[in-house]
Amino acid sequence: MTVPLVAMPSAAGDAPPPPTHPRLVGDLAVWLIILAEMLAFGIFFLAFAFARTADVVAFNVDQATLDLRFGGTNTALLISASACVVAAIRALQSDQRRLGLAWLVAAWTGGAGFVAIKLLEYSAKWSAGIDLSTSTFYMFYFLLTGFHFFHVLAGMAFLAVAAVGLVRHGCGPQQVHGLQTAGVFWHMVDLLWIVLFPLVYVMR
Amino acid sequence: MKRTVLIWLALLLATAATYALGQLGALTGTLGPVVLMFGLAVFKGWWVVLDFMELRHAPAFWRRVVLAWLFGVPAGLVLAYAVA
Repeated sequence: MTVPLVAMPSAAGDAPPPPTHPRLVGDLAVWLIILAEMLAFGIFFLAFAFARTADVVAFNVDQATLDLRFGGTNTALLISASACVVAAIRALQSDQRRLGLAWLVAAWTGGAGFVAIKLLEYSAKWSAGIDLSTSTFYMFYFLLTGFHFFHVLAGMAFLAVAAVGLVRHGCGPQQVHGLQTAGVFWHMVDLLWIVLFPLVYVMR
Repeated sequence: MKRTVLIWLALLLATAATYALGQLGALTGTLGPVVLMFGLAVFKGWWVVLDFMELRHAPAFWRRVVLAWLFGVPAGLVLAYAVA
């Protein structure tokens, strides 16, 4: 018998009612990691923006060589994958394991799409002879997006582990908690990209 | 679920607006578009933080810390663009 750790939704697929006491979703350890990552990325974003002040024209010229379609599509993919993770958690809270797994596969596919587009983008840059040493802008571009890229891979690994747990052990409270923990990490990856996209790809 | 779909659509719409402004090249020179662009990012982040990460019903400390990041970092970025 499974005992729900979290409040049950009022109907299948609905958001659960607000908890009576404040509750942090997911494991405390992942939240500490999230704070550290957000701090690191925040400093990195500000370093990019203030480094730009030293040579705005050079930054703008390099930035104009980025393909906005790659960045825009990847933003849509990450946002959609995040929504799929939310739907997967809702399904599991309604004890709908198959539906939860289907949403998880959809989320993972979104992540895989992001990775494929990013590799395509990097490959195009490397083919054009552009790398970390090309300019200050491109040093930041590769470091910022590369660091984020590895977080996407880590998020996909967490989601895969949560999915395997669901297949093996069903919708137990431990599995729901595991997916919520993977989920908040995934949403952080999404949140970081939401700031990174306009900063690196759009702002001139 | 309906709420999640609505938030997802709003996030996609905000992304499309960001993309369109970038494509139009409407962001060069003045500070107004910069504020608009990072405002859109904060709008998107707000829903991700409060609804997707479920911090709306979390202990206030965690909600405040993450929201402080969400408002603080874009504010710093706007400042950097203002002094550039």
